[in-house]
Amino acid sequence: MTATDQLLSELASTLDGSRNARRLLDEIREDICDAVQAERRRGLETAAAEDVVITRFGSPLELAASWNRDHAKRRRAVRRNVALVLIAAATAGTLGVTQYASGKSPPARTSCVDVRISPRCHPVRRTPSMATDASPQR
Amino acid sequence: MAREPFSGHLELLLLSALRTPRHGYGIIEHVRSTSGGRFDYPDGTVYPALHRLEAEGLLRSRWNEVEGRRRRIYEITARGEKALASHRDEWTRFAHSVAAVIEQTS
Repeated sequence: MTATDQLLSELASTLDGSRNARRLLDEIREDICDAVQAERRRGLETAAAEDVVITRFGSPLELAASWNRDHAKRRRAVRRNVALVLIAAATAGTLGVTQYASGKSPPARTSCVDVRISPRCHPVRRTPSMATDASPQR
Repeated sequence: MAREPFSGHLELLLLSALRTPRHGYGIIEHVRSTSGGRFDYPDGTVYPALHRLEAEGLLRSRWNEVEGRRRRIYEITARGEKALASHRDEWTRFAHSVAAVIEQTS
């Protein structure tokens, strides 16, 4: 087993999130190959180049800890969103059933009416107090 | 030259490096060489950050195959460009403030 295989195996056993973790491992394997090739071009033998690259990579446990923290945060966010959608759906369903049971039909859609107001017309917003006032507007 | 951890500026450095599409190792090499070796940190630290930025929609990535070698290429998104501009402004204001204090007290 090479140093790269060992690092990847250690990571594989500690990373959460199967699909994304597999992608991460593939990505790291390819990048380590690139880094080893770069060190070989600088004159190192393959084994020495691999050692340099693996040392420079750092602790797989630290990477896994950071990765797992982010993964847990993403999972919490997804769960929260699913819960919100479920609550919204349940609320809408309950309101619909209540409305149906009380015999009321759902509110009719308001149609768009093309209202043309002449420039001389200044519409007055009617408030409840104005509605009770019988005196004509001047 | 002293080497420094750059965890506080990681997002800014990654977004800046990815104005040109690069793969993980390319990003690490770019930051290392353009900082004159000052930001020489463990290569492994960059991957969780790249995936986090991608999940936030600031980066996107795709596999690219060249001469039988696969590489995951990252590039900045329009949202990432906005975040980069904001981080850069924040950094510039911070640097100016520090410089002002240093110059006044020296």
